[in-house]
Amino acid sequence: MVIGAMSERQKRDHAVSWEKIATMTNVKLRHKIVGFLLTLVGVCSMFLFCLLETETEEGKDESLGTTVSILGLTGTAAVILAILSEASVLMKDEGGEAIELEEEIIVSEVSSFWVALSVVMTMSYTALYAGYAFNPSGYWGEYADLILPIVGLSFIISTVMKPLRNDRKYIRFIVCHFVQFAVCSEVRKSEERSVQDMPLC
Amino acid sequence: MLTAAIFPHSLSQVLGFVGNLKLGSNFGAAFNLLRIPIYCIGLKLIFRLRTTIAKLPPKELSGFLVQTIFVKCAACLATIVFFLFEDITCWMEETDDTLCKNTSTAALYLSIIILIATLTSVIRRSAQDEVRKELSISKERLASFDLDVKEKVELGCLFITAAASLILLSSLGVSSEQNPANIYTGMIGFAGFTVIFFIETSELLQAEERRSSGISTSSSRRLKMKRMGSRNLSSSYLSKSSRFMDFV
Repeated sequence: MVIGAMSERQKRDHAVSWEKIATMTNVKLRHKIVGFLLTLVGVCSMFLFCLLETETEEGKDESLGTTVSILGLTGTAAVILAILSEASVLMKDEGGEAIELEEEIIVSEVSSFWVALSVVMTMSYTALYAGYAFNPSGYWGEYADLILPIVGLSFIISTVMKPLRNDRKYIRFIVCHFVQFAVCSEVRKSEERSVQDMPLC
Repeated sequence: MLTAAIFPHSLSQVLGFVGNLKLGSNFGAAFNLLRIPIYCIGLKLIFRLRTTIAKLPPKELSGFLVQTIFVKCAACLATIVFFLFEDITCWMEETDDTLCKNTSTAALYLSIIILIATLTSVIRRSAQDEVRKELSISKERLASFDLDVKEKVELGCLFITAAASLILLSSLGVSSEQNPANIYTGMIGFAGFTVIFFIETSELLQAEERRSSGISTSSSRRLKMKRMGSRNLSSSYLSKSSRFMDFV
């Protein structure tokens, strides 16, 4: 409703294309914050959706209830902040200037921010390795199984995000990234233990 | 540079191989050795993919980076995260972790199938428009089943993977002990899409090579012949069906 109430000029001024997001150019701080908030809303909603038909058992009611409350409140707060941010654009009176057509953006490489994010996501496997080194009896193997597809996807997309970069420095980065991924892509499964011992629960 | 990349990985796998042999895990040891060529081929493929992408015209490159790498991979990531949450939810719900094995296996295999599907899509989109059009299967050819052996295998694998994915999806939230059928279903689905991935990749690489060496006419001629063949085939079907209708 808030976006629908905006004038065409306001909509055009505040629209963010995928090209802009990919290159992170001309993206205002407000857009970055709203983007983060909407991602948070998405993640919380997905988790809550998965918890929709969960049956609670004795001794677990409290922790599950707390998780649902935290997720619900975080998601609600994030969506309210996102709406307020959009509403602030609507409230601003910026005069009726002529609409300028934006030039088509040609993306030749994705922003370093997304490459760094992919590298960090890939390195989560290395973090599991570190955890395994400190506490070999933990559930690192189970966690590793869970995040393996995410880590694999992050690694592959991080290598093709800047296809035109062929300088020695960038190739060295890809090679090091591969070494880090390939060496640390298997965490040995620990012995069977009760699920109550898992730090997540 | 490639040797420098492959050496630490190979060394770690050889050490893993020795360790697994000492533990008496022959399967683990064999898997360690198998990972060396898989990762080497993977790395080679990544560099090849980068070179192919770099050759795309600016507009196609922009479309590839935004639509395939950014939007499609984000969608794939969201789906995988959803399966991950299904698994975590099961852990939170059940006191006995063996009751979540079914969900864990289903979530893992579904995520891997989606990952391979996305990779196939990335590799397909890395080719130029002309090559993609050349290799695509039209609805007309599909209807008349005028496909070559590779395409028939691809179609068969696609059906098998779809069926396996549906079975895995139906067992996603089911709390029960590990069902071996679930693992086999996942492996069948994984194998099915892996075959599709390799066929697509090999076809694209061949087409790109033909294109770069200037022998692009043979495939287009083959395509034309195929189209003509399908037209002839459809006309023969039509004449047969009209004769049948007359007979009726």
